[in-house]
Amino acid sequence: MMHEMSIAMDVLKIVNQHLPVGRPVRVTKVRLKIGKLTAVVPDNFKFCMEVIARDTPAEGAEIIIDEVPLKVECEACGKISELKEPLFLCPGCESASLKILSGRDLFIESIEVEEEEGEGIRAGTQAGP
Amino acid sequence: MEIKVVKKVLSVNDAIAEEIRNTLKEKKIFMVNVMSSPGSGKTTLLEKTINALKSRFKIGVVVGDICTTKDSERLSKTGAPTVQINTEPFGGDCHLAANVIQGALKELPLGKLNFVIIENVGNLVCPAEFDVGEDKKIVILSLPEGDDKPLKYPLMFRVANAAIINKIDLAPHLEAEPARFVKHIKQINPQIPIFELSAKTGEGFEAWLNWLEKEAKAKISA
Repeated sequence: MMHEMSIAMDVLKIVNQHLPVGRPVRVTKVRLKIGKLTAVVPDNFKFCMEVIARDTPAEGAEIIIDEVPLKVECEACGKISELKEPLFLCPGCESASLKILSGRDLFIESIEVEEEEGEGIRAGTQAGP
Repeated sequence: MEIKVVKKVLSVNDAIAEEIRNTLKEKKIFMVNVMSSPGSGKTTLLEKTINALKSRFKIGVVVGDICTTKDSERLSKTGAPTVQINTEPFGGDCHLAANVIQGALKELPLGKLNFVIIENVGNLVCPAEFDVGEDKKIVILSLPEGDDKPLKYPLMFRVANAAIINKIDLAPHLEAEPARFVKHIKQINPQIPIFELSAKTGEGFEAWLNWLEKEAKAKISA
């Protein structure tokens, strides 16, 4: 699950880049969209986030993952369907020419921050190392 | 306070992959990214492939071994310039990301090459997620691994541009039917070319070499 760690590091970097500058804030929520057809296991990812966010403004933030279904469009009959198992055939006409519409997604949608009273960790603190 | 971000997590990786792709296009270099689980016969297959093609292409190799330099030592015996990715002594990352490949390519004499082979870290999960700017992704699966692997690692078999079923010489010793491997790969990726071969005996190797050569020529002479 090492790649979840490198993905978590990227997420933390992006979160830090989006924090308001100049005042101490704490990140309370990070909301992500993760597709079904990605190599990311949500629980592993949450664990990695928890570990690397220590001593940063995102320490203890709730990680909310919206799973994006694997949706395909058939290039033969035009039908749009959701694939629930690894069988890449159009459920309508069994054609193999499918275009993936969603399910490869891996992005941060939003974060929620609150201002820290007094001694907060300053925004912009980078995740080390 | 909610802050909208809407940013792709791998956008940094993807941007570097795009830079690599542009560089290779400009230099007319064909690059393949070879992925498999450990022990699939990747290094043997690449040794034979390089030896068969080295009179026709100027080949360089990037090897992503985690702990040792055994694979790069074997591959450099083919005479192809070989770069070993620097990793951790006790096992580092599980995949090669685009920034690592970009660094490795700088170590190769790119001006004298027209074909680069990446031997990725043995793993069927993570390398599938990371674009490294290659022209073709190749996945190798060997008979002893079992025919259920495509169904267990669908992303890898979906993103691959070609699949190799290796060690078919072992079929009589295992209760393994290559046809079931083909069926499961096609279930994930119906249009993918599949090569059933034995890197050890050379059986079926010709079709793989022909495909690879055709793809390489298409890129180099474009």
